[in-house]
Amino acid sequence: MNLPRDKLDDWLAVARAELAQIEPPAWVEASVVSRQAEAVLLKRLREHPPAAVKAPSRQWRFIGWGLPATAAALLALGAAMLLARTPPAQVPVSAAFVALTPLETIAAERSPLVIASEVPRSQLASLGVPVDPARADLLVRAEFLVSRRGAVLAVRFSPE
Amino acid sequence: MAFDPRMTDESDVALLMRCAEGDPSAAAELYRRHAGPVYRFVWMVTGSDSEAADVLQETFIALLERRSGYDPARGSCTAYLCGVARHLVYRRFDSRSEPVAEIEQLAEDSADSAASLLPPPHEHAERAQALARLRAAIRALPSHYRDILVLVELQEMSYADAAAVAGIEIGTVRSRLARARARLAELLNEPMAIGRGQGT
Repeated sequence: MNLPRDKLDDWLAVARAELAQIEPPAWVEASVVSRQAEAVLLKRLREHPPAAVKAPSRQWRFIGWGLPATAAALLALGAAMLLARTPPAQVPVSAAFVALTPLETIAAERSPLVIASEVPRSQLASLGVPVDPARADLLVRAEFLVSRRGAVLAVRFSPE
Repeated sequence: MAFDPRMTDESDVALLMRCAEGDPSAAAELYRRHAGPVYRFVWMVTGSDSEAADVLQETFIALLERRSGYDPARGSCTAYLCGVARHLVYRRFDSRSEPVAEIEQLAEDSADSAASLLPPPHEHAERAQALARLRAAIRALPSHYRDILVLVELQEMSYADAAAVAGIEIGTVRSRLARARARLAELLNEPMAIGRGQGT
């Protein structure tokens, strides 16, 4: 068969038709949409924090997380003793956060949230704090250090 | 696959505004509209499924994070995204070697079968091989010719949008397209008509 002079056009047409059949892999769409949803969530968290939220200052974080693990354990013990002895009107006070995850994990968190709340003392048991059963229903004010993904990193018991 | 930017320009802007307001469905709709042409452009230029997928992902993330970058007065959203993708491809290949082996292989093949490198398209036995050869020849073109050829000839993009993608004048698109066709014909070792009807 003789080759026509416009054979290049013929083959470009074939290539065009073949190319039109090629579709991107599905994982790309999932990744893009997921990334967008994450960006929207972070934006909303910044605009509407879940509670009285303030990011701890870099200096505060350094002091807090620079303590050795043994000091954190002692503080936890002290807080537990205060909880066990303090009457309901007097809120237990602990100046520093007690780490609930390895310090390296906390230090690696770039922008943790501090969420203030009141929780029943009974729930402190799940954090490893001894609780007097007689006062398990009473509330205690606490501040939780939470990662951007919602993991509780540390807790401290705050004054009024 | 042809696209008509006039049908999507206004609503693309509206979709981007919805994205900015946090509507997750807007991002998905934008992706469905434009991912195909962007992916095919990058795939044709790089010849790699994984490169094309990675660049496509980066392109859309760039669009969603810098929503103000798209100006409908300068071209369609597809053209804008192809321009972003083109930039990302060049940035990736800046740190790598050019696909020299492919070019050398092409030259070797040309010497072996100079008489008839491309059979008529209806000869299916040789069709896949010839098509692969044509793609290799397109990828072996200088990038400024190759990109215009892929956009206009294979993606059926208008000259104006191709100009927006490459950041050049429409007249330059015409001349580069003519030279790209001539160079492609040379690579395929067969004299072919350079002139062709005007694009859209």
